[in-house]
Amino acid sequence: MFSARAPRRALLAVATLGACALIPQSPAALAAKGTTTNASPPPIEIAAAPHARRAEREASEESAPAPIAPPPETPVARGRHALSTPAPAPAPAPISGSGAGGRHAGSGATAGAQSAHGRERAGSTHGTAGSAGASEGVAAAGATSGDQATQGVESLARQKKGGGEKGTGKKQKEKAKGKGKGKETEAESVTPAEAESVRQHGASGAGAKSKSDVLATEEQASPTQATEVAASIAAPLPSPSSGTGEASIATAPPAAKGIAGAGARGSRERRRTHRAKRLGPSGAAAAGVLAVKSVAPGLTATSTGSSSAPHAKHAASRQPHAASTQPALVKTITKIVGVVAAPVRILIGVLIALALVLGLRSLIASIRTRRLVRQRGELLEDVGLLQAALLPEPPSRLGPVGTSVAYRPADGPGAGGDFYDVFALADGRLAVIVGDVSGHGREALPHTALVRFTVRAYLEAGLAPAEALQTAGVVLERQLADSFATVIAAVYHPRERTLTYATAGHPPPVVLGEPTADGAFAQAATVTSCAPPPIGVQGRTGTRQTVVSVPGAARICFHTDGVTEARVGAELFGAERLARTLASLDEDGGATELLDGVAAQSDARPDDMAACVLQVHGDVGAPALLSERVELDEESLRRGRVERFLHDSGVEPAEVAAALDAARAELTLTGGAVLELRFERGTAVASVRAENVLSTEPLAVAHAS
Amino acid sequence: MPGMTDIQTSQPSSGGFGVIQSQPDEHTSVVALEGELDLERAPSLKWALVDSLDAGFKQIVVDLTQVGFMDSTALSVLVGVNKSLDVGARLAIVCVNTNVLKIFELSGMDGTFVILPTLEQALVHVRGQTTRIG
Repeated sequence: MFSARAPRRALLAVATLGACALIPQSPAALAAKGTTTNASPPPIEIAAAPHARRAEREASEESAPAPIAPPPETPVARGRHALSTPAPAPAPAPISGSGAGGRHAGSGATAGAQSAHGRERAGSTHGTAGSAGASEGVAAAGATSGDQATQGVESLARQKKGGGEKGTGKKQKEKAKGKGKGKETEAESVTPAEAESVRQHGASGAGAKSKSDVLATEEQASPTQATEVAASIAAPLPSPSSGTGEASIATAPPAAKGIAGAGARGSRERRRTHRAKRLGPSGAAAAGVLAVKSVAPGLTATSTGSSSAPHAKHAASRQPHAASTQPALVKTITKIVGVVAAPVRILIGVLIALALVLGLRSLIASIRTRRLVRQRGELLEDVGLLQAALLPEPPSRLGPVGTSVAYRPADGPGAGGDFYDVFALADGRLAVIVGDVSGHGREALPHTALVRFTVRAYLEAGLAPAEALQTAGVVLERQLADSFATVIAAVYHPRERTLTYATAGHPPPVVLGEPTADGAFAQAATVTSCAPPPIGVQGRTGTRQTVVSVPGAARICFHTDGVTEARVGAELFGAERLARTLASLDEDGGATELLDGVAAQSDARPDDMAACVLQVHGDVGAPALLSERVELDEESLRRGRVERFLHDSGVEPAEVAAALDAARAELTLTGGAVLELRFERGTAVASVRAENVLSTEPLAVAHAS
Repeated sequence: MPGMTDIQTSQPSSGGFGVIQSQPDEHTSVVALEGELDLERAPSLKWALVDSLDAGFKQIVVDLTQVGFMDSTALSVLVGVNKSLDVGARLAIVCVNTNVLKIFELSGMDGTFVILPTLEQALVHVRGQTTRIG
């Protein structure tokens, strides 16, 4: 179904029209039986109406969701004869027939009028059973409040149409008056009413009992409010039925008996308010609100949940009008239907059945859809929670360093594989991990946690950044299977004021000093050649470690490649723009402001962006490269990567050649060589050592060698 | 398929991106790309490579001579394919564009991938005709 609602409403309309064709049978049958018809004297109708309606509503609520079928009507007709006859079978049954009825009423005014009227006619009030059913129904009525509120509105509309002496204002005043009175009395007699209702519910069942208990307690909670409202309304108006009403209030359930009483009107109103109270705080408040509204010129009784209150409130006013308009309506329809041939009626019946089936199907489908939408929302929430676990919020200060982190996922649902961590190590050192697992969403998430916590554990165990990455690379190779991860691991020593970091296929950090007098920012150099590969690409990583000195105040920015690969026109954002953006942050600017700045300058951000910014406090002093350490291998040498690295680091050409020779010699001799660069007084001094390269082979092999 | 030397070409998209697959011999597949290798185009590269591998080619050359731009998504594709190469299979990349070379360098993959300046050199490599030190 394209829209479940429209066809359903149409189907309901068809159904109600068809039901109208069938309903007129009842009055005819009734007439045949000699029972009083709809045109019975108003007093009886009025008396029976509220009580009947309440019982009926609950009865039909509880009957099977048959639309406007005759079944509710027939017992109704029977019930009319003996007002005190116990309610027929349909009454006690659960389920929300009234809900269905109410719904139908919502869509078909005439049908609503019919069923309401029918219920009134039923006057089924039965002794305990009826009241019990009533109290149950009250709670159920609350459930279908919207529909009944609509009914109430419609009945009000009919009232208006009918005009007559039950003018809007007058009626409302009367109702409000009676209601206010009822509420006041109600409050006083809560206990007895409660006891009564408990008794009542005992007859009908545990469920209803508990409901009424709850309602009863709620009653006590809310009477004040409702009472005040009602009192304020009722105050200026005389109450004609106060005398008779009082007596019946004390026994709300046996209000049924009150019907026969002279103070029918008063008791009706009492019941109305009593029912409103039974609905609980919301109901009471609603009743109070409704009382206010009834006094107001506008007829807006639909707003609250306790529809039974407006419903009951308009009962009396509706009665006489309903009595006069409904028959006319019914007669008209009867005439129309009378012209229709029997076969056509059958066809209509079949169409109604078909319409109902289709309507039911679309209802089920929409319920299912709503459930799926809700589940999807919950799942997305779970993904969000997982993501939050992977992207923690570190403390804003770790020792003398201010920290901030930020993450902006690429468009689309779910995590994108970026992760970061900022935590304290022993001796006041601060560790930072930022990484990016290949792939997106569900496939990347488990690997994200794995890589982050593995590297973190190794750093906390005391391994240097390069060692941690190298070990993680070996250990996680198999687990990463088809994916890989770029990672940077860094440790800041506040006492020595040095930042030591190692990368695995990951961009190096941007280290900016405070601006100098001319506004320029000193930035520590970064050499991109001879970079180690990501974790999980079947190669050794963690083969290079860099140390940067941070003598003065500085900002250090770690990020994922989503930042530098944001698109600016046809170009990439790049490391230079990133440095400028970092420099432009103000005093308390952090990672979030940085990513905001990147977003503002870029046109597209196809990848997730994550950033971690450290604010190092201090005096003047430019950050600068301090040392580099690179593990050499034949392949890197052969490909010229080492040579490029030496050149890019600022080593004199003569020194470069010497270093390469030394490296080749060492590798040939011992199979392992380490290149070290020290940056002193603006020059780079290279040295090659035959240091034992950290072996991550299984221990057995290591021992053997 | 091995043995066939016909050339399969995909139409260049409106952005001037194209994937051209050719098989110089029965064991070698050359996937040549043209244009920008970004998030949208990376899947084309992936499928071309996966097709070649599935077809049984053991010598793959990725020709990026005509590629002026590449980001980490395409890089991820290449890394993934490289990782899944069977024993005995070889992958070589032809690339001279400095921007693209920079991407390889930043990621450290220039030490893992075999990146050569010409197609001929790449073919020589994947056919195992280069002698390597060590």
